[in-house]
Amino acid sequence: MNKKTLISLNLSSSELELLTELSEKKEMSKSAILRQALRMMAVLEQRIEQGEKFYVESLDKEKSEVLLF
Amino acid sequence: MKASVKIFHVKNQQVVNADLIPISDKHLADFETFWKPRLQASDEQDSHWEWTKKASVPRAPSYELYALECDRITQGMMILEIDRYRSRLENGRGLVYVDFLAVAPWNRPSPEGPMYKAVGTALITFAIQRSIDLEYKGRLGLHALSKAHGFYKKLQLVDFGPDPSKQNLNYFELSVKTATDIISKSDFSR
Repeated sequence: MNKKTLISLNLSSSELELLTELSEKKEMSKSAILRQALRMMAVLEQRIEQGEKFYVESLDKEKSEVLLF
Repeated sequence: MKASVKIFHVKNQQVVNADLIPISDKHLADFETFWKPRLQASDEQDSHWEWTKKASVPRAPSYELYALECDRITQGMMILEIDRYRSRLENGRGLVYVDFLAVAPWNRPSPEGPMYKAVGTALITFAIQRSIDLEYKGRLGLHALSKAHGFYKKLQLVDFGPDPSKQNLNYFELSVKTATDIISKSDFSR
């Protein structure tokens, strides 16, 4: 539907292993995983630039941890 | 991202081509000129939706805004979120979330009848195709205003009932199987 460009990418074995693991877990191709990761990173960067912070909330909702990027 | 889709001109009893394209200033001008006065004079549940404001918010690449244009007029609009939401039907799998969807006031059921039919279906079918492109296999989620429940039930989205985290709007989700069925009958399969 939209034009895509083929690029080559250097990954360490652990990075490739992580990418493969995510690809299998989410039943998506490695390209789709990388595209999604890129968009998510852009979201984070945009929000951080606006001075916002990211928190991870614990299951009991009592503790939260600030994520720094 | 754009597509050519088909909708139905009721008066002429004719299937016509329409363009599904990213929202531009022209579509927002249509909203202000043609949609807004009619919506504000109505009791439609989306009469307070300000598309111009929604579109002017700087958005991350996780958002996609589309308009359906036919006869050089905006017949429908939709905002998709493509990364943040997860499936309830399939434990945590990714999906495309329909943040907002509306058809032009003159395309809604009324005593004089709509001008075009199938605008909402064309928008949803396009969203399903985007979900397939993104490798979410057609999974789609949304919160619906009560007047739209019948439309989504007809498309066989699963109704999860009111969601307290979203103003008690009912949450609907489309399964992979139903998405596949809808796409196989659509123009996107040809």
